[in-house]
Amino acid sequence: MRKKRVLLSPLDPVHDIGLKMIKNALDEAGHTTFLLPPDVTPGEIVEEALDKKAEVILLSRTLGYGVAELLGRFVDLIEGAGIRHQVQLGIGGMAIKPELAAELGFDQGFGPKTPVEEAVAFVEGRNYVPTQEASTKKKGNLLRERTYDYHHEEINSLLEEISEKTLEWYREVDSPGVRRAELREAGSAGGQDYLELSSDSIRDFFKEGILPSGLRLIGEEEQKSLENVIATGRVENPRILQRQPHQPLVFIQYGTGCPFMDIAHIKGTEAWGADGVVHFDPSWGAKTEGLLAGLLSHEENGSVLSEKNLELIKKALEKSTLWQVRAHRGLNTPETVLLAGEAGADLTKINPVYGSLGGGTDPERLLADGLKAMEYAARYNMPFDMPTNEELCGVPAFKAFAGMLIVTQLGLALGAKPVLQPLFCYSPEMMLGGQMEDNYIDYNAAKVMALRGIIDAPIWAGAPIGFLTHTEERVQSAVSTSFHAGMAASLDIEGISIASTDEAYSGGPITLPARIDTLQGTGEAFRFLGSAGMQPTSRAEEWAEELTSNILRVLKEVAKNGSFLDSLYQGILGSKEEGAYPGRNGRRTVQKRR
Amino acid sequence: MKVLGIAGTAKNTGKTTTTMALIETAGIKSIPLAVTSIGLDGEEFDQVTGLPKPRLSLPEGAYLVTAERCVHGGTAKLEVLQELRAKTPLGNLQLTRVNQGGRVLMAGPNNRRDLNEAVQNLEGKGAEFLIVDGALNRMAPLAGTDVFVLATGAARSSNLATLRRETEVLVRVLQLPRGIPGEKSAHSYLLTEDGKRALGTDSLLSRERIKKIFKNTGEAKKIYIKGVLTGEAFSELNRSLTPAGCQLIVSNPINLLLGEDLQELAKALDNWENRGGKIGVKFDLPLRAITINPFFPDWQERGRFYQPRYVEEDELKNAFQSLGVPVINVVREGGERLWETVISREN
Repeated sequence: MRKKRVLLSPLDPVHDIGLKMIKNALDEAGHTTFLLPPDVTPGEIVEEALDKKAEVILLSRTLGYGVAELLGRFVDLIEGAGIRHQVQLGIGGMAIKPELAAELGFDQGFGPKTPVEEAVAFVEGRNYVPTQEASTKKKGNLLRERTYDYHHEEINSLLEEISEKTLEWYREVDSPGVRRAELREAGSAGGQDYLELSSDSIRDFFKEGILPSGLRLIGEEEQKSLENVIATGRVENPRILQRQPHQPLVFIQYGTGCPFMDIAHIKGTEAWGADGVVHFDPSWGAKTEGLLAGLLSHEENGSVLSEKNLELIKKALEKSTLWQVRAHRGLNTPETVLLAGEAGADLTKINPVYGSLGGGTDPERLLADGLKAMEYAARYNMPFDMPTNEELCGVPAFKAFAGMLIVTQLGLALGAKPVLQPLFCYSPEMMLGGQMEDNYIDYNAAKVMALRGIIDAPIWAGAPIGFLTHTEERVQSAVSTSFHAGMAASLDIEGISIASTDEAYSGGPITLPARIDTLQGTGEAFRFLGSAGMQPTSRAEEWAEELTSNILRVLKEVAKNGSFLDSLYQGILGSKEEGAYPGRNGRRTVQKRR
Repeated sequence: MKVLGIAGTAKNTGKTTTTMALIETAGIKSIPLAVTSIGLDGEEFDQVTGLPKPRLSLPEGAYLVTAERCVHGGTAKLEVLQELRAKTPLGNLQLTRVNQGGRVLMAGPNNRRDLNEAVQNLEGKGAEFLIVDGALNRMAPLAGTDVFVLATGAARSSNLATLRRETEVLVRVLQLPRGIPGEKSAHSYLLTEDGKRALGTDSLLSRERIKKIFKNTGEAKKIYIKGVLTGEAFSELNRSLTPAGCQLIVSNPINLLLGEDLQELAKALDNWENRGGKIGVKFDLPLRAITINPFFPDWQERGRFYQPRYVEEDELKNAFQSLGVPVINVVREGGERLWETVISREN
């Protein structure tokens, strides 16, 4: 390749660092460079270009009032001087995009964060091919190399004892949720047997074609538009937020009810660095026996679970995106996991403890259904996380963790891959107990330290991190998420779910820019910390020990009771006084297995 | 095929509105057209101000030269007939035909040579005119067009007295007479009684350079400037030699308009001519009309955004009385008047 003569001119008095970096790279590549001082006029640059016989001119300039015209006149001067076809013109700076470069008459535009290599390629007349690392985002591994080895023998043996007894019970029972899942597996979803096990609203749909209010089927034309949105809306270079391998994968949740909106949110957040997306279904779905069918739009929050809806979302996802379909709390838990597995989901969410103590479903029903769901999760190789959101109702963390650990052992026994989900939140327990009076790090760190001391399992903090620390103020929300993300990175955990900055404000509908706020904040936290980290005080260790001994105490109580299920009703894993109420949906629907 | 260039004095002076008015009138008259831009046109929002831009629509049968990444950017269905050699930041230029009318996104040749390539490839396709929409205040790629329209207005200056003064200078330069025909020199030169001497540079841009070149010059008879002569450089030229009896020829009028200060250029022209110098251009530019636009984006420092504002339309029109060139407010007076003024004279 012939070496070029390159004139570099920072039209900005301050922002010439980019040009200096490019100059160094060009010098190294053997080109002859001439770097002009800042604050020269377009005429002077052209004169220098003529004198130096420049073949490439690179300018940098921040756009401001009248600057476009200034740059336009520069390009005109080059043309007027008769050398336009002898020189390649490149412009770089904030707000510069290829579109703007075209308007200004330049041959190439370089926006912020352009790799130096791209500018060198332009000088050398080559097509810029981004390096492999920069261009390809790979699907994250939430499990990393976790072994599921227990580090706490006493807890291990208690969990095995509880789990064995629970599975003995499970093998004897059956529920409408379990049977519908089996019918769906046999290809009879929507059939007579299925409908007999379903709620009236589901029967009305399949028999009369009547949809519950607020729902409608997507028409053919809309469907075509959706396909078009998906085909044209690919994310070319999804951002990678993590700077170090120990920094957690970042998940967002979607569930606007509208497939167009869901896809817009998914594509937007993928572009800005989300590693995974979580499908949220409508709250009424948890109370309804049976699932609808077809491509459906819902006018309230929550995106309807149907085979077609999930298929559509799957099509819209980038290959690098982890996809979770949650199934943790309602009457369709096994069917949902089955659907998710068939649709190609990577992850699901199952926790009969939270789902029955804070989610409104009867403990007996959800335990039977949850175990069936775990079998499907194992079959489809979908790790499942166990949210401990009963903590938000007022259940102390150690009780929620005891329940989560029982579910962990049950999952492992069924061949599945459970993921622990402690909350990074300012829960009622903290408000009353004052553990977060001084700082937000110690108690959250204590939770992770306690869990890590018990079992080597993946941890996904949720959901979302910073729950109840966010206010209606957007900057505060973004900063709080960002700090919690930094803490998660420092604790070496595998995943986090983040909120948008308008969730606390809107209490419902959220916007894409507000999602980008927190993705940006999280990226900044990862950039800021790198391989450094946040350090808890010695209180964290004390609290971790306290948590562990309390978990042990609860597990002993459950073992003493002899029945995990009865312990749920008895309040051993969260009492009514604490705010945990065994749910009533699906009560008395569990039968002896036929 | 005739090439019609629409240049602006600044952003938002109404180039695309003028282009659109001509496209619509051509449609009514069923005259086949081709269109391109030396910048980027047809997008929804301005790349700089963020304000909405006029959209661009083309009827079926029209030709469009646009960059690869813009071909599917509108609602019109375009058939790519040919890929041109010229490159832009948005990909290679494509010569396309509109198979189904609709909105288009247009990023065309950014320099004269690439524009010529587009013109050559459009010849014989059936279009009677190629309309070339300008960009920003850029004019240089339009120097060789057959018909030239200048769009100006409040976006250049919302002070109407200033705007009038500037426009007078532009009109004066754009209407400079052709110099002696047959100028064949490939480079700038100076002719004195001692003979012809190359200047060593095609463009005169800075005072220092001029001082050096014209030091101890005897009586100049003719100076030919192939490249740029800015107002600042022209002032220095006035100081460096005696204009009386000297003919100054610049290759085209736009090459005189590329300096920073049009008022300095006006003074230099006065000075040159008052002292007996003559000035002309090698290639003239047929300025057929000036279109005016009352709109201007007003920068709000508080809040840091552009607010759309307008000057009084009648006052704007009055400011442009008796310029010696037809002045048209396209939005108010319509495309027909523009067409009659600009194009009917060509046929």
